[in-house]
Amino acid sequence: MFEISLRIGGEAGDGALTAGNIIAKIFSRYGLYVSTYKDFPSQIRGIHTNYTIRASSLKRFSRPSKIDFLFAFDEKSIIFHQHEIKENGILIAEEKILGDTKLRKDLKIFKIPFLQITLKEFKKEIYKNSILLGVFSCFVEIDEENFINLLEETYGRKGKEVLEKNLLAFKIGRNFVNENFKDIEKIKFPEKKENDNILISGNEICAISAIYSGCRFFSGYPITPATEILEFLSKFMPKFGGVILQVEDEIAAINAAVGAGIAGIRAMTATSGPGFSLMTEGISYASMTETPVVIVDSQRAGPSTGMPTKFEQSDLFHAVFGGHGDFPRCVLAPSHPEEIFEFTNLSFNIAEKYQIPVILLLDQFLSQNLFTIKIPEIEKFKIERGEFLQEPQREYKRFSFNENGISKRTYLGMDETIFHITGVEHDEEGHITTYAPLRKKMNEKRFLKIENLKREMPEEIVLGDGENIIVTWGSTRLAVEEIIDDFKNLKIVIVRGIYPLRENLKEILKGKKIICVEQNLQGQFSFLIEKLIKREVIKILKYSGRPFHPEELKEKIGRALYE
Amino acid sequence: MNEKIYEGKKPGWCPGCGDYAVLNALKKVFAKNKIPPSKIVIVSGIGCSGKLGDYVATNSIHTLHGRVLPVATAVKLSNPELIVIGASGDGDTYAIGLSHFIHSCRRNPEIIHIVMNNQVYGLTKGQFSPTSLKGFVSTSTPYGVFEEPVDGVLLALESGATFVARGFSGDVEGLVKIFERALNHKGFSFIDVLSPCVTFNRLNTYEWFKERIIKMEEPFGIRYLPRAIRFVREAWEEGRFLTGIIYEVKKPTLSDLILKDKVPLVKKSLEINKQEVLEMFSIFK
Repeated sequence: MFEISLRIGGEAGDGALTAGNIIAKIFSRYGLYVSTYKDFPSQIRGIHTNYTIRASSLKRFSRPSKIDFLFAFDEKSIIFHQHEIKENGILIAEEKILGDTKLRKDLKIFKIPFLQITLKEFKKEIYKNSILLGVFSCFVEIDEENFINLLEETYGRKGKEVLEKNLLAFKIGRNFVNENFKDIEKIKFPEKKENDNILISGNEICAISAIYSGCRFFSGYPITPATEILEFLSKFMPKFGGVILQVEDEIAAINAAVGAGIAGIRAMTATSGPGFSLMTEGISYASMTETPVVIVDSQRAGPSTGMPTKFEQSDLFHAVFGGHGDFPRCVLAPSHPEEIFEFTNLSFNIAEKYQIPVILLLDQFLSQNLFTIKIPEIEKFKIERGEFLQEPQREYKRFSFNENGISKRTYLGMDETIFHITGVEHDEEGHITTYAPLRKKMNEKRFLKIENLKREMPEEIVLGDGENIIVTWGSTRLAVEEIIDDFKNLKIVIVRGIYPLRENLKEILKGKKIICVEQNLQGQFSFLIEKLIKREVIKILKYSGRPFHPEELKEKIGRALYE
Repeated sequence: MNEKIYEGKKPGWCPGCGDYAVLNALKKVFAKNKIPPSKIVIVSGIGCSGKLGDYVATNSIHTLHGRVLPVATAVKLSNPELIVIGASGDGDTYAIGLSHFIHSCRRNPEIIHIVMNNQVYGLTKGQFSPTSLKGFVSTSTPYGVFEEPVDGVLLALESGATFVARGFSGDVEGLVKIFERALNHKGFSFIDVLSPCVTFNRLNTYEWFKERIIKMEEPFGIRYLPRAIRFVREAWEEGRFLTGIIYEVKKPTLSDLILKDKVPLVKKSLEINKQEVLEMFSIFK
């Protein structure tokens, strides 16, 4: 197995993201599985930020426990991250920042006067990231050409001058290392594997799947970490004749999406915690009016504004229980970048077949980081629209009772066919009623759909067949699956259909110790599991805003198993 | 067409309620223009006005409080063949839904937005609304309203609405004229209808309005925005209400700007060329 990881730390504006993305792409094209980890503040300039790139010959996407390289543009990078460098690892630092900070003795330290070089060559502090790339290229056995190609791709469209300056900065970085440091032991890479892989963020996968899955209406409001869905669709939706609206707030976003859903269009909105809270009434309206709509909630650290750019899995209660009144819904949570395409597609199918709002729970880690994946086999994913009225019907009852609770829908504007929609309790025709027996029957009709839906919820992924069970959900899976070989007698259960849970899960979760790993303070998923299996689980939780890495998880699981 | 075909449930409004006039005028306009009920969508909000959708035999969407405009906009974009009419009240539009109102004026969707403005919250039995006059005594303002009232017409003009009118429920023929013109207007048609509440507003009665209404002299409104604003503002300062079509201008509509063609989205296939999906993915190679 081959693995390499590096972190670039500096002040926001130092260019860690651009340099990191270029390195990530070089690795990914090389045939390695890359994942990134953005640890960025919610501020544009002048505060510490760091970006981690991990590349592995195996599909390992969690935040790495230790790094091989640290690039430090600011002192904080050293203070915060030097302990995370592997033993005898490499620290490449801006010369100027190495003041009083004690450095680890085992590290191989390379001081580079980034600032001085930029001032001398370019008269201002600029192109540091390309110098960094030049420096880094001296430490890896990858052809220089790979770097140059990507610099050309990245800066080529910004004009000749920008490109030339960046290429020059790259050369300067390279030359500086070659002239000043002898006998650098280059990291050997496995043989390059030609591939068709892509390096893409979860948000972008979700947006492409939405278009593929027939979504033709998207209304949203920018919010970290969901904004890229809005941005991507803004660019591509018009090409497919769809509607994209950035509206005044999340209340408008959900209501517009529901309006399109009523009209008969596949509609979606995407948001994060604060916006998701604002959408709550609209989601309850969608469910009451039996309107299909997909709501993507890319979770971030809460509560309130919380930490907008940080990771957490704490919207589960809100997704499952949020809202006034009793109403059916579906909550799905992909656990892996490779599942996002499928789950976005599934969200639309479930929303239309069951005429309910579907909440697709992503999180900051999946949404905003880049992952190497194969282009999904899209032919496998179909558009299933559910029950539609086939021809005009004069006495059409939009909410007719039947054995499965699903009444035939139609689109607004079908000849000679009218229907009434209301968030007030209503009869089969959609007319307002408070008549007790009818109210009871309607309420039960809506929930009947959940019973049927349970049978169609995605199955759990089960790894191993031990007696001790670790159950997890969402991107926490990425760290969990990496520790499977570290323990005996273990079974890992990854749940992707959060609500309603499948009945069969009760059987799967029969074991000695049941450990639930998730990243919030209350153990929100544990609560659902405990209710289902009617026994207490051991909770392993984290809520610092940074996702588990495998090492810390290994220790916690070890304790849970043997203490 | 006979007006009767548009008749829905029997209205549950109080006898004499101004909202009857809006309902009747709408039915007249529908019949006169022979619009099939299946091509009409009434999108209403919460409040007495919100019941309107239940009283017509056309499509209707009874939305959440304040959310008429996002829903109506989405419906129109989804299917440009539909006549989409937003029906809401003063609380719906000028309180809880105010931001949607201003942004809809800016966006210019091809919908007709009728506000049944009775200057009181009727369905919750008599609290003041954003259009209640200063000093108005209501169940939640026993010592009188201390806020200045909102004028929806001025707001609409300032926010970029392309058709602005004010009607009066005491003048159904006037409403018919306005609605008909609105029906032919390409863009956001806003109509504030002074629609007296006979049960909870004893101040702003039919008689009270009759003394204060000034009818627009230009039958099709003013085309120069600053002049329209000045007219409305001056009447407002004098405690009077300008009625009729106040302003109309031609501008590209939201549909013009964002829809490729007028073929309803609902009639288009959702399947797309797989190659196009692969091309999107290829950006990330």
